[in-house]
This record gives sequence, C-alpha cells and structure tokens, in this order.
Amino acid sequence: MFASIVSGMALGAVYALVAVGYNLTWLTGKAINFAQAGFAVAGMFLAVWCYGQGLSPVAVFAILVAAGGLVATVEYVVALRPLRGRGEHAELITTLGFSTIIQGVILLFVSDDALRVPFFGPEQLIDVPGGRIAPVELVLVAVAVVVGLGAHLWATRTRSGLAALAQSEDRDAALVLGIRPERISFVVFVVSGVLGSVMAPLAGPKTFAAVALVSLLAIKGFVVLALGGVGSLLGALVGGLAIGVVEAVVVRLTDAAFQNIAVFGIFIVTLLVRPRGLFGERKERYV
Amino acid sequence: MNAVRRSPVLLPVMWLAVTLVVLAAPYAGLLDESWTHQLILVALLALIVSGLNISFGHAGELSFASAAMYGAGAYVSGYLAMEVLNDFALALVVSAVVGLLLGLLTGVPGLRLGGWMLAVASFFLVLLVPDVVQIFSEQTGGNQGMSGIPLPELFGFELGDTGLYVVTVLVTSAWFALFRNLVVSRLGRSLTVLRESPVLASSLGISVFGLKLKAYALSGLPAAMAGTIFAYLNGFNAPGSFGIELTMAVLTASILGGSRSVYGVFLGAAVMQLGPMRTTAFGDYALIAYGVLLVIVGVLIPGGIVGLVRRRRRTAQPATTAAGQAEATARLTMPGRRLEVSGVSKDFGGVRALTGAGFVAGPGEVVALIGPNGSGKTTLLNLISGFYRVDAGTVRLDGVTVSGRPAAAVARAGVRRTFQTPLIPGMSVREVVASGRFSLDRAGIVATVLRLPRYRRALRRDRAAADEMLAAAGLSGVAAHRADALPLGTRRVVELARALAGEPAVLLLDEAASGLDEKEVAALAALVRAVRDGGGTVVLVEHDFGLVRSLADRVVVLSQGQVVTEGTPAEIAVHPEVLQHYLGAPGGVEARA
Amino acid sequence: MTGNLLEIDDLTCGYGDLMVVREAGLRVAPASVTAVLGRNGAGKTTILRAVAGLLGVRTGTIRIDGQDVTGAPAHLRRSLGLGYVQENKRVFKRRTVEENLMLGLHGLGLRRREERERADEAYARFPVLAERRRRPAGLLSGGQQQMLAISQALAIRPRLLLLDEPSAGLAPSIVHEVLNVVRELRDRQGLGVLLVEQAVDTALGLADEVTVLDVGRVVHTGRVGEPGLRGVIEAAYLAQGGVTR
Repeated sequence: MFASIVSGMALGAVYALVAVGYNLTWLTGKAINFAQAGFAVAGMFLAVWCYGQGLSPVAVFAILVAAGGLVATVEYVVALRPLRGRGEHAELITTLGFSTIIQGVILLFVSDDALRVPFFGPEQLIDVPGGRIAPVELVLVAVAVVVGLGAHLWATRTRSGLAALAQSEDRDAALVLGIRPERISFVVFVVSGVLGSVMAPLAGPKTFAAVALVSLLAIKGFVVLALGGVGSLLGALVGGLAIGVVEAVVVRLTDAAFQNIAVFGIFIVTLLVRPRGLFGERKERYV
Repeated sequence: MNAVRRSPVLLPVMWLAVTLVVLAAPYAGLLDESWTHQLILVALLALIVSGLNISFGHAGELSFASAAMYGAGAYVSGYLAMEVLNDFALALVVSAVVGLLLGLLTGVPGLRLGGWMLAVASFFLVLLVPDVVQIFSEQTGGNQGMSGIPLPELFGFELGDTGLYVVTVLVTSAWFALFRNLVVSRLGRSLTVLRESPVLASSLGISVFGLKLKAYALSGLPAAMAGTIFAYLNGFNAPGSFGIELTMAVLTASILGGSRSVYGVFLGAAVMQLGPMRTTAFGDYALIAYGVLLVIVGVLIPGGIVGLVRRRRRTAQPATTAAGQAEATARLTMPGRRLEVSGVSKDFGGVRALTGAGFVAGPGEVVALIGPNGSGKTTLLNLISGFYRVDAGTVRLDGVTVSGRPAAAVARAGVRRTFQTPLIPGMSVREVVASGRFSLDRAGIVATVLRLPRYRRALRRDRAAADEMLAAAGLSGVAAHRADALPLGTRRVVELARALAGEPAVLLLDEAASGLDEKEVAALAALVRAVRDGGGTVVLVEHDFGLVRSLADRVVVLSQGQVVTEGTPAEIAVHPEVLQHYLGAPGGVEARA
Repeated sequence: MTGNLLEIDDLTCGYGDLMVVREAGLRVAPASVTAVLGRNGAGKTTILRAVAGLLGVRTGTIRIDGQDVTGAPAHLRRSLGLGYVQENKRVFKRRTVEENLMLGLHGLGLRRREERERADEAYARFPVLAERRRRPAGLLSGGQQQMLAISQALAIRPRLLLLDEPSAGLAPSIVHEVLNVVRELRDRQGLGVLLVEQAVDTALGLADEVTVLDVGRVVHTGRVGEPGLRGVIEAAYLAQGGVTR
C-alpha cells in the first residue's frame, strides 16, 4: 500500500505542478492558461527527441526553458493580451485553442501511441513496503513541494509577489502606486509556461508522453484548482497530491477504468459541497 | 427573408416545402448514396450544434458535453437494437430522455459556479467516455467498440439507406422547427435576458436557476437523438468517435454559423462536414486548424467568442427619439399596493450600511429617498427588491412579508425596479418592454415550442401591454429600434416602461434622472406622474432635488444609514438639519470666517 | 510657467460616449488646497481619475509641475510626485497594514532602513495603525482604512496629492484627524492638494481655493472667504429653487 501511495503522490505532484501554473497566472492576471498541460506534454516529446540526439540533461533543460519561454510569449501575445478587459471567460476559448494547436503540432511529428521518457537520474527501482518505487517518483514529489512552497512564499513574502497580488486585487489602486500590471501578468505568464515545460523531464518518466495526456492533465489540473481552492498555491500542492493518492488507491482497489471517474467524482462533490475548495476564500454573494 | 419570418403562414409552408424537396431528392435521382450519407452526417452535426447553441449561444454557458450525449445516445440505441427491440422510434425516444437527463446532470454543477467550472466539468465528461464504455464493456463492447448493430427497423419495416435518410430528414426538420420556435419565443428572449444579465432576469421575476436547468436539459436532447441515427448509420460504435476532436468540431461549427442563429447551424455544420475543414481531408492538420480557428475567432470577434453572444456595439441613433418622448400619452391605470419598510438594518462585513431604517409608501404616492453619498439609499432599494438580505427588519407589501425571499420571488410579488446603469439587452425596444411581463402568464416549454393557445394568449397580452406602455412613454416611434443603441435618457424611459409592463405593485427607481438633460428628465417625470395618477406606488432614490420637489409627495431623508426625517418637499427644503446632512457633516474642521 | 503644481485646461473626458467632464479647468498652487465641489455625478471623481492617469481624456491638457502628462501612464505621473487617495477608503483589503504601506513605497528603490523610516513616519502620524500592523486592511474600521489609504499615498512624500472624498462615511473626529495631517503637510512642506468633497463645510474648512462643478462644467472658481461663495455652492447642489433661509 505504501508503494501505491508514493506512486500516487508522484502522479499527484504532476497535477499539483499544473495547478500551480494555473494559480500563478490566476493570481496575477485573473487568467487561466488551458495550455499549461500542453507545455508539459510537448516538453516531454521534445525531451525524448533531445535524449535521442545524445544531449545532456543540462542541455535538455536549457532547451526546454528556451522553448517554453518562447512559446509562452507567443501565446501571451496572440491569445491573451488582445483580450485585456474583455471579461472572464474570454481566455478560456483562446487558450483552449492554443492547447489544441499544441496537440496538433505534436501529432504532426509523432504517432498516437504513448512514448517512454527516460529519466536522467537513477532508474533503479527501490524496494519499499508494499512494492517498489522509482527514484523519479520521489524526485517529483520533492520538486512539487519545493515549487509549491516556493511559489507560495514568493506570493506572500516577497515585494514582487506582493505587488503582483495587489494589482490583481485592485488594478486601479495598483496603477496609482506605480505598479505595472501588464508587465507583471506577462512575466508571470511566461514563467508559468516555462514551469510547465521544465517539469517534462521529471513528469514524463512517470506518465509517459502521449497526446491524449494534454487534455487529461489539463482537466485534472482544474480538479486540483477546485479542490485546493482557486488562487491558493498551497491548496494546489495539497490538492494535487491528494488527488494523486486517491487515484492510486482507487486503481489498486478496483480497476484502471475507474481512475478518472474517481477524480471526476471528487470534482463534482467538491463543487457541490465546498465550492471554494479547501483553502479558497469565501465570496460575498447576493441573495 | 424578414417577411417569411414574420408571417405565421408562410414560414411553416416554406419549411414543409423544403423538407419535402430534400426528402424527395434521392427518389428523384438528384442524390446518390454517397451524397445521402454526407447529408445525414451534416444533419447529425447540425443537431448536435443546435444543442450546444441552446446552452452556449442562448443561455451563455459553455458546456462541452455534447459529444458525451451523442455517445450516450449512440450506445443506448445500439444496445436497445441488439438486446431489446430493434425499433428506430423507440431508440430515438429513449435516447432523447437520456439526453435530457444527462443535460440536467452536467448542468447542476454549473449552476453553482462560474462558466469555467461548467466548461471543465463537461470537458471532463467527454474525456470519461472511453472509461465508462470500458466499465460497461459487456454491454458496450469496451474499447473494441460495439459492433453488430442491425439495420434500423421502424414499426416492423426495415429502413434501407434511403429509408434512414428519410427518417433523418424528418427528425431534423421536426426538431429544428421546435428549436426555431424555442429561440423565437418568450423563452428564447428570457434566455437572452439571462445571458446578458442574471441580475436583470431576477428583477423581472425569472428564476435563473430554473431557466438554466431548462436550457441544459434541452441542449442534451438533440445530441442524443443524433447519436441514435449515428449508431444505425454505421452499425458500429467506437468510443473514439465521441471524443475531443468531435467536441472541437462542434464548437467550431457553432461559431462559424453564429452561435445564436437558427439557420446558421446548417451553414456551420455543412462547412465543417463538407468543406475543407473535414477531418478526412485535413487529416493530421485537423486539430491545428481547429485550434487556430478558435484563437482567431476568440480574439478577432469583438468581445471574443463570448462577445458573439453578447450585445453588439452601440451605434448612434438620430435625435428624433428624444422628441418622440414629449408626446407621451399619459393614461395609465396601475393599482399600486402599500409598501411598508420597518426597522431594516444591513451590515456589510463590519460596515453598518443601514440601521433601523423604515418608511411607508402607499398607492397613488411618490416617495423620494434622498441623502448624501453613503447614506444607504441604494442599499435600501436593493434590500426592498430582494437583491440583498435584511439582517433585521421587514419589508411588507399590503401586509405580506417579502423580505427574506430571493429577488425573483420579490419581483413576482410585484416589486419592479430600474437600475443606476440601465440593464438593456440587445433587443428591440418593444421586445425589451414586453420582457417585463415574462413572469406573468407563464406558458411551459411544450406550450411554447408547439405554439399552443396558452402560449399565443400570453404573446398577445405581451404585445398589448408593450404597446400600451410604449404609447404612454412616448416610445412608439422607436419601438422597432435596437434598445441598447439609444441614448441614455431614452434607455432610462425604456427601463421604466419595462417595469410598468410587469404590472408592478410597487415601482422602485434608482437614480433614474442621473446623467440626463432637462428634456429627458421632464419626459421621465411625466411618466412617473402618470403612474402616480393612475394609482401606482412609486419610490425613487434621487440626487436631483429640483426633480424631487416637482415630483415627490413625500421625502424621506437618509444619512449614515438612518432615517433622519420625513416630510413634504417644501418642508424638507427649509429643514435646517437636512441641509447640514445633505451638504456635509457638522463640526469637524472649523469653518473659515 | 506659473509654477503651479497642477494645471488642467479645457478638459473633456468621460466613459464611452458619455462625456462626464466638459471643458473644465483648474489650478493647484504649491502649499495650497483646491477644493472641487458639486453634487453627485458632477464629474469630480472623473477629474481626479483623469489627472491620475486612470482615464483617458478626449480633449484638454493636464500639467503636473509644468510637465505635460496628458496621455502619460499612471506610473510616470507618480514619479513626478503625484499621490492619489481614491474614494471609498481604497486600500488592498487582503493585505496587511504593513504590506499596504510597503506597497506605497513600490518602485522607489529605497533601502531597508529608509523604508522603515517612512513606515515609522506613517505610524507616528496615526498610532492606531501601528497597533494593527499585521492585520488585514479589510478588518480595519472605516476611519482606520482611510488613515491607511492616506499614509499609503503619502509614502512617496508627494508634492501633489489628489484626495477623493476623505470624509465620506467617517465620524467628524476622524475626519478632523485626517485632514489635520493634510493641513500640516501643506503648511510645513508645501504640499499641493486637489480635494474632492461632497461635504461642503469640511472642504471649506481646509481649502484655499474652490472650484464648483455642475453637470461636468466649472460654474465658479474662487477663493475661500469670498462673499457669496456659499450661495453659489448651495445653488449648485440643490439645483432649481435652491434653499430659502
């Protein structure tokens, strides 16, 4: 059982990282990038290709950072900036479109099957009570915790984080204090995109690279948002890990086909029972 | 085209004619087998898109569940045909019910939260189709697919390819007739109101919850029926047919044809199915094409894709509209009821907005609420109309307590209002005014789409009431104009006329004169006076003291959340305390000599 | 030029098609308070927003300390020494008092020690804030929020301050405290203030010059203490008929 839980947490770590990406752009620009998962999956395929060319892990990371940054910039300019001030759901369609484009591009180069992504670290399985786990799984969880905590600390303890949150809370008030909301939204957006692509060499060995993963990962990231609370970075970390564990336990106890259904169940129950999520804030509502 | 649309006889005749022509085409040798096959596919896509349009285009909620409902219809029909009874009609009806239920199911979470979560939940549902199919693999054939669906039979007769074509055309024609009747109806216009402003919908007595549920349920119906046809068409169901690619195609088709258009659905479906976008031709590039289209349309259409379902931009209107108002014929009988507000208090997270506020307004009276900024006037109005809940105190109409009820219920009880910024959807002036009656003479969905006498009666009454109010307000000249394109003063009067059309017991006006020039204020005042003379109860929140003097029978003065004093306008004007409160807090900084 | 901290000429601006302010002009001299009076909807807040750079103008010019800033972004105007206290005690309610003050110092590039000094200045002015440093601003009372809002704007030691209805919804004693701070800064440090107020007496108690707006237009400009000023003001508030005394 212990092995299943660790394994589940590793998968949950991937979800958490996607959700952290969502939350970062949400906190700083009230926008959610549906293509976040697309960055990760595209990164996986790119990583496989890079390994195939004999490039070192460091080079691979560098390429991923550059590619992620570039594509995120393009996405921001094309699919987000023109929508300034258009209302809440506008970027849903355009980032969904962008995600679809990413999927299409991947399909151009690769077939429909899932691809194995080698891990640049030790691949020797470790014996633990209940089974065996791969080192990459431990690294994934550790990275998710670091990134989640780090993002949270940035948002709550640093000046730049403070300015970013403030301008999201009240744009005009921020403007008169010399804060530049445009710049902040852009930078954080690109950083989120890079976060997405950079997690690929870690997530890939766990999930396998497959085009179908883009939509699935994107959606599960949303479930994490709902469970953890939109806007809570810690919520994204906790929620993601929790969902991963639930998935693993469900698969172990029943059948693989119930994996996604269980997550869907969590989603619906959360929305109905505690819409603001575990760490989210209550909204003042009209009667 | 307009003439065709408006005539009650011409449209059904043309509809029938087109249906017959399309039906007869293969028998006349005009269409061969491959063409009938293609046309069936176009019809199927059109059916699914029409469902999407109901929830997305009209109600304004984006749900991706169509592909899942399509799949549900297909699998259920296939199962029925193979294991229970092979009858097309049976499969169609069962699928329709399944679609209805699934539509409700996916809508319920969407009701509680914003559009994002509904879109996500429905997207997820589509992703789950392979898993659900796998779990029920005994019945569905699992990932291998469901094979061996027999040729369709209808009441014992086997339907060949042409037979299936005929049935498809009939189903599509019938559904679209109902769909068209839904869109062009009170219900359709209620959806427009809902889409543009749920607050407005509530203020007209429309239950947002109920209306959304109706929209969700209806959107599942056609998709599931299309699934029935699809299953029989192929004789085989593969889980992959009901996935993201189809979802994207449906969304794209909807947008191409115009998400609120009835006939545009066919255009979009035809383009997607027959044109260069079809998957088989595009092959590997299909997804990229869909994605690019989504981004482009999302960005370039003013207001994004959501803007397609929003009002269009205002265009300047000729000044003649203002002149028309001066000729308002003010003859109104509008029996009002007694409004009693007592001891009302309201707290907003630690800030006391109102403390023990109260006043009375009776039929044939205009009561004005005045006071400086922050005195709680608008809060009081919002409390009376049910948009906020009182922390203490009551609001009563002829002795019946309405405080504590949700806004739509309060509106149905007879409290109608206007807003500081007029909430005017993108409809003609006449339609806007008529929408004030939507909670009266309610006709159900069935009566609406079948145009039963009950619906026709409600429509007649709507029209009569609208005409009466338009005449009273002097708006008859602009009745056919787009209401949201008119100048502010006219829009305020339109809002007022709409509120009056709803046969209000009490009329609440929220700073209706602000931003208007003298002429417009006069027109507004004339209408209010007509209401008062006709026996109505009017409460107005106003800053313009001159207007208050000329219009109000009584004035209630609020300051810092409490009622300071009451009296006639003449009394209030010379009341020393009022001046102090109105012009500024006494004491504090010393006045200069 | 004349050395005014603020010069507005022929300003027409508004929202969408609706021009709320028409051809307005006014001045704020150093070490002086100009009050903009008028009833609700007269365009007072709109003028402030235009000066701060939150609203585009259709025609007219805005000059801060002699420099033409019409069309310039808000952060640029701030760097010229402009502070803006918006109406409704607008602070970042989810951030603590301390964080709000730090936000007031955004982009100044001060060292830790200097930042501390400025924060302490604010706490010295309003001790009640010091006691609540770590509280989210949303939990403060209205008066405390207003004190915080003003401190936030004063953090950069502005030369020109825009004040929007500082007395709204506040008890007179708090208004007194808050405006005394402003008065002191004017007298001691030459601060120029553009004050928007609905509460006429409060405004007249502090202002040196008065500009009266009605339906977006300037109907009167004068010095406080002029005879008949009061009558003009009341007329603009109560419109036709006025008030008989």
